[in-house]
Amino acid sequence: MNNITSGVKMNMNKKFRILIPSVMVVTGILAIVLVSFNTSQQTDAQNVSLGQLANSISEIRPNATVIKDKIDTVENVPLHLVSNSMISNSLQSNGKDPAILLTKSGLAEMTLSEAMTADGQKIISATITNIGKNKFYLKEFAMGGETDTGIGALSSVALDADYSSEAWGTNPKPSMTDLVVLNPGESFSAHIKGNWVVSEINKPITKYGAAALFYYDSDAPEYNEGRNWDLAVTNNK
Amino acid sequence: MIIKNIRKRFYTTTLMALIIASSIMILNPISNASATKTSNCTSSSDPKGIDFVSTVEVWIAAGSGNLDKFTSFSPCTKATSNVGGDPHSIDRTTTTQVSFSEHLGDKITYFDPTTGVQIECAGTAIDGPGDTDNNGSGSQYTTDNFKGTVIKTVKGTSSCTVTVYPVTGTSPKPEGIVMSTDVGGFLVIDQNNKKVWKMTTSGVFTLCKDFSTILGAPQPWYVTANDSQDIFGVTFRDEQKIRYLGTLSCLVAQTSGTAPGQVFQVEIAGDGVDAYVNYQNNAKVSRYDTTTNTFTTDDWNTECLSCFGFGLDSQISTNTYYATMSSGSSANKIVKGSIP
Repeated sequence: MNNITSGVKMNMNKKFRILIPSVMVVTGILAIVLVSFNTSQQTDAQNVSLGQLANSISEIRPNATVIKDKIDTVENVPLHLVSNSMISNSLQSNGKDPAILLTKSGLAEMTLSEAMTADGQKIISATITNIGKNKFYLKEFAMGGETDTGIGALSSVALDADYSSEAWGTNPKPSMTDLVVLNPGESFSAHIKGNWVVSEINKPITKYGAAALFYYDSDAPEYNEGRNWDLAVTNNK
Repeated sequence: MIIKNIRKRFYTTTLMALIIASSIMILNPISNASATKTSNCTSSSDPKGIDFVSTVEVWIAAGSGNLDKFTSFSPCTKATSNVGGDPHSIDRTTTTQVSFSEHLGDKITYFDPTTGVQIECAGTAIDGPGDTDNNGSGSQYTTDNFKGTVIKTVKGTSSCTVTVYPVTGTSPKPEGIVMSTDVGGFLVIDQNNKKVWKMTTSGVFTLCKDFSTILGAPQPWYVTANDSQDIFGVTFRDEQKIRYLGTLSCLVAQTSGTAPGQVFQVEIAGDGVDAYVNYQNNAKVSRYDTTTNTFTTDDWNTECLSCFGFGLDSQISTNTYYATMSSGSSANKIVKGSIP
């Protein structure tokens, strides 16, 4: 009996003797890998200054295709929903004290969809729908994306009602420059297509999203001293 | 034998814990740096803007209609001038010219500390003047959030010349402004339309970056620039992040992780690239390290209970920050520190 018990103890100790050093080795290797990863990230960043990086990369600016409607397909390719949001934001301020962030649900819904064409190009599509009770003015609709490291190199403005050639300078003209009225139930969509890689650093755009800015008539309950409401969706939530 | 095993297990467990703890420390994006707090001094009530000129001249828009000029932070030595109103942002350009935006009377005022004389720039064109910077030649440029303009003021011998530049766009709400020779004038934040503009000293606006195209389309607040590094940084208060852009390209090159609070004002730190930031909802000051993407933080809550930040400035050559903090009631501090 005693022998058996002591045999079990012996086996457990043996297991511990093998298990604990193994865990130690694995943890140690993990720590070394993490240190190496962190150091290599720092080394890469130190080789090129942030300013050099920021000013050497060219923004990718695909033209957006727009339509005042919802869309389910692009070029007969079905779109798959990635995310949606019904939370709109606006700042409330008296112009003197720091503004307060207002959030409101149910004014509009924004959806983000994607698809892949037969020749391997990515399609990103976004739609805003007025799900509230009053009409609003859609003044901007934009799409963008960034690399895993946070370089925001993809930029496409589908609509900006503030556009002027003088003020935009070398920035591309938005696909649409007229204010769009969206009555309750109406939608506006835009999509871009391509393979987006930041060639200077050979990194793909992996995170992307879309945003809309809109405002209400001064007699509407949602009117906020002329300030915009914004609604954004990303594939990164 | 049992004691030996227990000891072995103890050493093993301790070693494992140390290894795991080191791994966690390496990855932790936020760390505290309480040893880097240098000094704190009391100002008049509800301090707001701050302008570092030299170690013996730091100006504060100090609340209760006062301007404080600190000549030492250890011991705390200050001279207070009562200028009235509610001084907001402050900029000392010469020994005889301290300008400040003022919220009670909606004015931009020039104060000569050598004589005590004030020259006021007022009128219907000014309503809610905010952030201010100068062009290096005596002219002051101040954002007017309520009017949607940038106001250029030039002090005369007894009066002031006001020029109003409307920010491009529908219902613009300009907030942060900073001078940048790289852009030939100023970088101006339009919070409402989520844009940062390049504005020449004669008021011509050119689009730099539309933040609606960045993920989540957050509201931009304040801006700092370093022309020698060709970069500028922008705070996004409610998103609790900072983004760095190129002054030449206007491309977003880096996005910070989440900061320990609502990042508010931002200033370039000692290496010319990293940034000091303060917070609108707590009494902290952090240095954002652009290389490691980490925030190292001084927490001043013990010295300034339930306080929140407003003004921030830095001395790049010594990597020192100066910040104003208040609780909106009795606790009012000017703090100084240096986070490596």
